[in-house]
Amino acid sequence: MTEDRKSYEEGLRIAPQGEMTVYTAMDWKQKLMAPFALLGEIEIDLSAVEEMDSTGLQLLILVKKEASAQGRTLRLIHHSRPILEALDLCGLTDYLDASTSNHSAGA
Amino acid sequence: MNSDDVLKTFVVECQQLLLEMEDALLKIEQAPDDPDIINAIFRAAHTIKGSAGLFGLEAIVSFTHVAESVLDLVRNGQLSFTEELAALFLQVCDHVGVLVDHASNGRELSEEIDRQGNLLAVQLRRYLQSGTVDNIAVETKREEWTTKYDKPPEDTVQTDHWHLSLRFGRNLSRNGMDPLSILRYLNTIGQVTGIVPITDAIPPAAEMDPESCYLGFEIGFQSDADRKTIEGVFDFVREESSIRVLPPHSGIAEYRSLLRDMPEADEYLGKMLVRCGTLTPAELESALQEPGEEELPPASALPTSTEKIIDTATKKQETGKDTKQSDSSLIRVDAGKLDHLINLIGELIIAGAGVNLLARRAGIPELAEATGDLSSLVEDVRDSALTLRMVQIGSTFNRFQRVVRDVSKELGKDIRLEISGAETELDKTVVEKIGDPLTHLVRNSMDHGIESAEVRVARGKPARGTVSLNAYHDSGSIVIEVSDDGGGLNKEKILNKAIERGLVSEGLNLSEKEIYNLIFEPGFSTADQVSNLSGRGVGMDVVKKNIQALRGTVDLENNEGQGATVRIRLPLTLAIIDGFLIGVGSASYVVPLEMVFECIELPRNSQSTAKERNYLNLRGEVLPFVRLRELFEVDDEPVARRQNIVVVKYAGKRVGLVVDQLMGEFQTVIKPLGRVFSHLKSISGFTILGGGEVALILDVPGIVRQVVEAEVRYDDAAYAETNK
Repeated sequence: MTEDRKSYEEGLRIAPQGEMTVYTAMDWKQKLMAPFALLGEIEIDLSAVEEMDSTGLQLLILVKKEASAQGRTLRLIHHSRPILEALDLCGLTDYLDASTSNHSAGA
Repeated sequence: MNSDDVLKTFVVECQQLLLEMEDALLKIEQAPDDPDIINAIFRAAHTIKGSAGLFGLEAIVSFTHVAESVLDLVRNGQLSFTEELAALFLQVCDHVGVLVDHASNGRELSEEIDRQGNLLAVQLRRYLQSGTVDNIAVETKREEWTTKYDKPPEDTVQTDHWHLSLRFGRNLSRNGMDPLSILRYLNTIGQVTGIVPITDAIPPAAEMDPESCYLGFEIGFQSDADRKTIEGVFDFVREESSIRVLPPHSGIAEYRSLLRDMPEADEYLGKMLVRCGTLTPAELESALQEPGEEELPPASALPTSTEKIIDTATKKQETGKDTKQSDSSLIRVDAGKLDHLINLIGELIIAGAGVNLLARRAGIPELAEATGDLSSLVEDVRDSALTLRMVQIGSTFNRFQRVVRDVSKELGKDIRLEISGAETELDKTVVEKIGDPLTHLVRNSMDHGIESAEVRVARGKPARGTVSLNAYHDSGSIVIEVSDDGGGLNKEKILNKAIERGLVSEGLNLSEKEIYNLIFEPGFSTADQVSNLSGRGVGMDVVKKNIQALRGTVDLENNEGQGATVRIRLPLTLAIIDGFLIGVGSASYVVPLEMVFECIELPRNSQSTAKERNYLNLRGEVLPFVRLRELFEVDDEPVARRQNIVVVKYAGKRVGLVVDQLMGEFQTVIKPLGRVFSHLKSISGFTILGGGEVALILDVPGIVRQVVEAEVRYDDAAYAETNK
C-alpha cells in the first residue's frame, strides 16, 4: 500500500492504491482521515483502487460524512471500475460523486 | 474466522458434492426415473450454486444456475434423463470442478474455459423449452393468488415486487461475509428495481470501527423465485442481522410494523421505501397513520402473516431435515491433529513399557497388576487411534466406475468394472497415493489386456470384458488386485521386445516370473500403437516405484489367453505395531508380530556355520533360513546355547530367522531411521525399549526378498555348473 504524501498541500491529496477491503481497513481509515488534520480542500483520487468491499465503501461514506459535518470540501475523483461497480450495486453512485464525468475510463 | 479457511471449506465441500453428483449421474442411466437419484443431483447443484454465491463467485453461480433450471424440469417430470442428458451433465460436472479449482487458486479463467462453459450452457438451454421454468413459475403463482383471493385485497400495496429490508450485523465483515456478495447474488435470482443504502448507523470517525459493518439497505426486488429461495440468500447472515422479506402485495400493516421496527425514524424510512419504489406516497401516508379504527389485524393481512408462519415452520422442518442428513455421524478432523495424537500415543506406549519394566523389577504384585491394566488400556487407545486414520478403499474403487465408463467409450470396447472388498480399510495417506498407480493399471488392462469384442467372441469369451478391483487383508498387509479377463501377457512378445530394447541379451535363460517382471522396466512397452492412454512405456515402472515408495510390493500373475492380475501389497499400519523381540548377540531386534508364523528350535546338526546351504525340513516342507548373526556380522559372545528359529511369513513365502534369544511379544512404536540409514537393507526402523536401549526393527519383506533372490542365483549357478 503506497500513497503520495509530500508537502502540506500534497497532504490534502490522497491516491489510495490496491485493495480497500476488510484486511486493510484499519490502515486505510487512518490514511483517509489524515487530511482532516490539515486545512483546505481534500481530494481523493480513486483510480488505483483495484478491489473494494463493503468495508472500503464504508470508509468512503465515512469521509464524506465527516467532511459534511465539518463543512469541508471533499472531492472524490477518478473512481476505478471496481469502485463504480460496487457503488452501482449499492445505490451509492450519486452520494459518492460517481455519476458521469467524474470517473476514469475503465481502470 | 479467517475467510481463507472458509474458502477452503467451501472448496472441499464442493469437491465432495461434485463427487456425489457424478456418482448419481452414473446411476441415473440405469434408473432414469428414480426420484432419490434425481434429487441427489439437484441438491448437489443447488448447494454449490448457493455457496458460490456467498463468495461472490459469479462464474460458478451463473453456470450452475442454468444447470439447476434444467434439473428443475427433470424434478417436475417435464424432462427425463436420457443418455444424452446424462453425458452432458457429466461434462457440466467436470466444468464446475474446473471453475471451483480456479476459484480456490484465485486464478483467472482462460478463454478456453470460458468458451467451454458457454458451449455447455448453450446445450443446457436447449433443454429449457419455450415457456421457461421462470415463466411457468410466475403463471402458477398468479393462479394461486387469484384462487386464494378473488381480487387483491384493498389494503395491500400495489407493487408486485418484493421488498427486502436489511440491517447487517456489526460483525458481518469480521466473519468473512460481505454485503456486496449478497447483493450480487440477489441479482442472479431476480432484479433489484430500487435500492436505498442506509448509512445512518455509521458513527463519527472517532468511534467508527473500520472492520465493523454498519450498512443497511432497503431494496425493491423483482423476482419469480419463491420466498424460500429469497430468504435462503440470507441464511448465513440471518443470525446477526435484521432481515425482513416482504412478498409482493403485502398488507399495509406489514409496512407499518416494518417502519416501527426499524431503528430509523418512521417518516425518514418511509421516504426510503418510496424512493426504492416499494410504496407509493399515498400508501406511505396510510402506513404512517396509527391503525385507529381498522379491525386488528386487517383481514387482508391475515393470509400473508399466516403464510409467513407456515412458511417459516416448513422452512425450519426442512433445514432440520437437511442438517440431520449432513450431520449423520461424521466429523471432519484436521489430519495434522490426528497425526499429533498418534505421536503422543506412541510416546505413551514407550513410557508405559518403561513403567512395566520397573514394576516387574520392583516385584510388587499390586503394582504389576496396575501397570498391566494400564498397558492393556494403552493398547486399546492405540488401536482406536490407528483406526481413525483408516478409510475404506471403496470410495477410491468407486471413482473407477467413471474411468472405466469413459475409457471404454473411448476405446470402443464394452467393458464393465467389478468391485469387491470395498470395505477393506487402509491408512488415509496410502489411499491418497494409491490412486494414480491404480488408474494406470486399470487403463492398461482396458487398453492392452481386454481384446476387442470380435476377438473375444472368436475366442469363446463373452463380448463384454471385465476388469475387477479387489482388496483384502493378509498377514499385516493389504492386498489390492487389478485383474482382467483379457488375453493375458504374451511371454514371447515380452521377451522379444525386451531383447529388442536391449534390456536383456539373447540366449539368457529367464524364468517365467522374470520375463513377466520385465514389464516393470523403464522404457518397456509391447504396445504396437501408442494411444494417449498407455503404450508410451512410462507407466509400469512408475507404478512399481510408487508402490515401493509406500513400502509395498507389486506382482504379476498371468494366465495367457485368459487374463492377468496385478497384485499390490502394502503394509497396513505404519506407526505402532505389535512386535516380537529377539536377541542376537548383545543386541535386540524386533520382528513385526503379524509376520511371525512360529518359533522352533534350531536342530543341532544345523548349528555349524560351515554349512553352505541353510535349509531345514519343516514338517515335510523346505524352509530356508538366514542366520542373523551372519547377516548382521555379530561376532561377540560365542554361540554356546541352543539357537532358535523364528519363522516369518510374507507374501506366501516362509523364511526362518536364526536368533540367539527369544524375548517375547511387546508393543512398540516404529521410529523412522534418519536419512543416513535409510538405504540399509534388512532394517526398516528402530524403537526404544523400556529400559532405554535401542532395538532395530527387521525389514521382513526385504529379508525374504533377499533370501529368494539368493536362492535363484544359487540355482542358476548350480545349473550352469552342472551343464558346463
